[in-house]
Amino acid sequence: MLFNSIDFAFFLPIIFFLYWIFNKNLKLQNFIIVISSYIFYGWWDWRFLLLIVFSTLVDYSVGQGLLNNNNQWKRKLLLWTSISVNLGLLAFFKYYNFFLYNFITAFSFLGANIKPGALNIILPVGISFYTFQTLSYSIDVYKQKLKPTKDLIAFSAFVSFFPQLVAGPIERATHLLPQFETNRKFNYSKSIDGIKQILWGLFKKIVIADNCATFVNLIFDNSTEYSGSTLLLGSVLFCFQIYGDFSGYSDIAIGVARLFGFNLRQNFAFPYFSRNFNEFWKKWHISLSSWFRDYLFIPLVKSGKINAWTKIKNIVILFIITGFWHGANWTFIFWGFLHALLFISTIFTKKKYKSIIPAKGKNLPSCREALDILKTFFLFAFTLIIFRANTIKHAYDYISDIFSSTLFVIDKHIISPNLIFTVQIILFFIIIEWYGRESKYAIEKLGSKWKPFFRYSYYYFIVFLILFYGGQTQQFIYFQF
Amino acid sequence: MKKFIFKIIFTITPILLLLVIIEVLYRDIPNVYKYKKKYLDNHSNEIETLILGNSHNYYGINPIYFSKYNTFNASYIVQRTFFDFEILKKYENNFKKLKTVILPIIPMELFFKKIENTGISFNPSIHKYRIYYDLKLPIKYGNYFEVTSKMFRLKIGLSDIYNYLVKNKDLMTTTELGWGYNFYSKDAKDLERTGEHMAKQHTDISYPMNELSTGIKYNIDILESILKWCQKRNIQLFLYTPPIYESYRKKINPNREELAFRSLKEITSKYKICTYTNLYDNLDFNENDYYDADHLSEIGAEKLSKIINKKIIKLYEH
Repeated sequence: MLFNSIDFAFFLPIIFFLYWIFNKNLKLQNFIIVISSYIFYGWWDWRFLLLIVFSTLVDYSVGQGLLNNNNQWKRKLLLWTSISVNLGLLAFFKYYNFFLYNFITAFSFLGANIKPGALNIILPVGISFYTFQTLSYSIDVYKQKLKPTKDLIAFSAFVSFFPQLVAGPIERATHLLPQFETNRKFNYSKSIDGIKQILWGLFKKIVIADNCATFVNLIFDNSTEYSGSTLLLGSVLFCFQIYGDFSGYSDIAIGVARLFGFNLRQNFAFPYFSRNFNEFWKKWHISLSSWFRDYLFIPLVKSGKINAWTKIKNIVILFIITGFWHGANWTFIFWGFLHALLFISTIFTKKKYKSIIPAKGKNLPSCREALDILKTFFLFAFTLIIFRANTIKHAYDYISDIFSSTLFVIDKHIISPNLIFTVQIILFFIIIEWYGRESKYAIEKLGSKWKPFFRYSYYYFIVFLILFYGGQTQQFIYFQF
Repeated sequence: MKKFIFKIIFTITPILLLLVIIEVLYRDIPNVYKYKKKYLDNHSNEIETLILGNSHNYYGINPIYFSKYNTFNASYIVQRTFFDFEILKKYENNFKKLKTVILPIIPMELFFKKIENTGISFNPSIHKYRIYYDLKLPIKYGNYFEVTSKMFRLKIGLSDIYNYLVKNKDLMTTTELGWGYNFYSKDAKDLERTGEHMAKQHTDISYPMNELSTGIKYNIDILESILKWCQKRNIQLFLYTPPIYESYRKKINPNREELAFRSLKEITSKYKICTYTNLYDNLDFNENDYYDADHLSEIGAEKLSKIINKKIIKLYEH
């Protein structure tokens, strides 16, 4: 079920009322969440449910096993059972054909002729997200950072919680699971805040991302037909598409969770205002980057000698795995590798900013800050070409064509009222995001102290833009991951 | 909780009211679906030649050039064979005089997809067949209304309402006999560019190479249902492949084309009531006849209509 669908518009109020009718019965509330989450997930394909139920049961059992075992060897075995099952499922559903294809290519290169059949595997929606979430539970319980829960319903609700089930934010068990174990009371201001964040998320998805998508698809799918300037425009639009799409989804997820009394982690913190790639990765897909930092990078650092070389090596490993997490394609791996290089470059630069928020407390950034923001943004845009391209060759051709003699040639036929509108709405979006950059989401505080007439006019204006200027409906990009 | 619910209802009600008003006003605008349904409701018992199919027929065949038999063009843009069959079934008891059904067949279109988990051909305007044609299709409830359908753009909807209600503009693009007249030769598009573009688009929205047999089976099965329907009623099915500009043809995968023509030959040869004419690369049509690479302008439409008219008359001379 998509957040921007009619189905969800009916689903959400029904679950909301049902949930709060039983606000004195925690078990029943959790049970309602489990059932509604399964309906939400099964809406795509009911067969996916078997997978999530299996994953839940395995990690619940591992948690119980860890609770009752002090033998270190047995505890390790239980942890590795959880890791193998979760990553095994992920590897099978997401990476089987990729490994098979590359295995065949490698052997045919050596002269061997292998012909095993590829499997027609459907990738279960959001498998990379909930797999990482359940893994965090087993690892934290193993490390005794978290006491395993005995409540299977609460644990199932934690694994399958529908707002963030298919595209995150990837929650840590230490943060979300205790919320399922404590009574929740309806909170008016929290719910209003949730509605505002949902509204802003819908705006980002429907107005920004979907409008950009029309041009991005056209330009990337016919890249050989366009001049360098149009290709450059395509890559910039893709930056806004992917940001509007993914951060929009996160905003809706966080907002919906707030309606049910839950607090989810912030997933994006205005990443396009980053002044370098170190800062960027503290603001982009925070729940994933911090997951890798805590469960992969820190253990890697602790396991070896601490020197510059091992640090660089670990950063490269971390980013390549981050890239590979996105999909079974060399483009994602290369994208991750490029980000590793960009990230490493920040280690050797002396520029440091006092605050992670650019121009904190000021209206405009300094010239140096503005240049750093633009430099980071355009470098990111170039890496995204690799992310969006079908193959490395496609990305190479695309980038080469940007830097060809046609860079200053304008394709007149691509300029349309829709494109002009899209560019205008992006500018409006950047301004709102800039002024809201010290909040959790751009419109969190904007207008909150205005008189009701102006405040409502401004909310209706956003609704108006969503209803009247939405692009062609597109699937959320991150569902495929 | 009460305060919250009240506030939400208070905020949402004007939006819902606005949407309801737009839905009512938008449905009131005359459109091609409504017109064709009304025509079929009132005249299906008089029709002798029925033109069905998609934009190739909608813009390509003008019944005014059909000299002998009472003809109506019930085709429309993206009206896939699935919908043609549904229309035939809907009016099957009314077609008392129907002698011939004309359907266009484009090789690539035999690989077009169906909507997942249904037997319905993919059609972005599927809701229109439910709303205006009253076809009972198992579709999602978002498609029960214009404003909630995926295709609807409020900006365009409002502009249509404004043009119709305030400016009294005629938004219909069809003649009395159902031909789409708005592909004027004076507005013709770049044939090279549109050919490449359409070939790519047709490849993109069809089944991938490894699923070609599944895709063609689905579409051929529908075609066979129509053939059986016609055979049962002794109605001639006139299938033809319309002329398509070479910029499109040379970009299409030859394996797909070959498979499509072979499958078409196999199925048509099984039924005596079926005639097939291939005008795909017919040399009588030159660049002046096209509006874009895969559609004829009014000049080409006249030429094609006359050719088909002759063939239909000839059909009954024997």
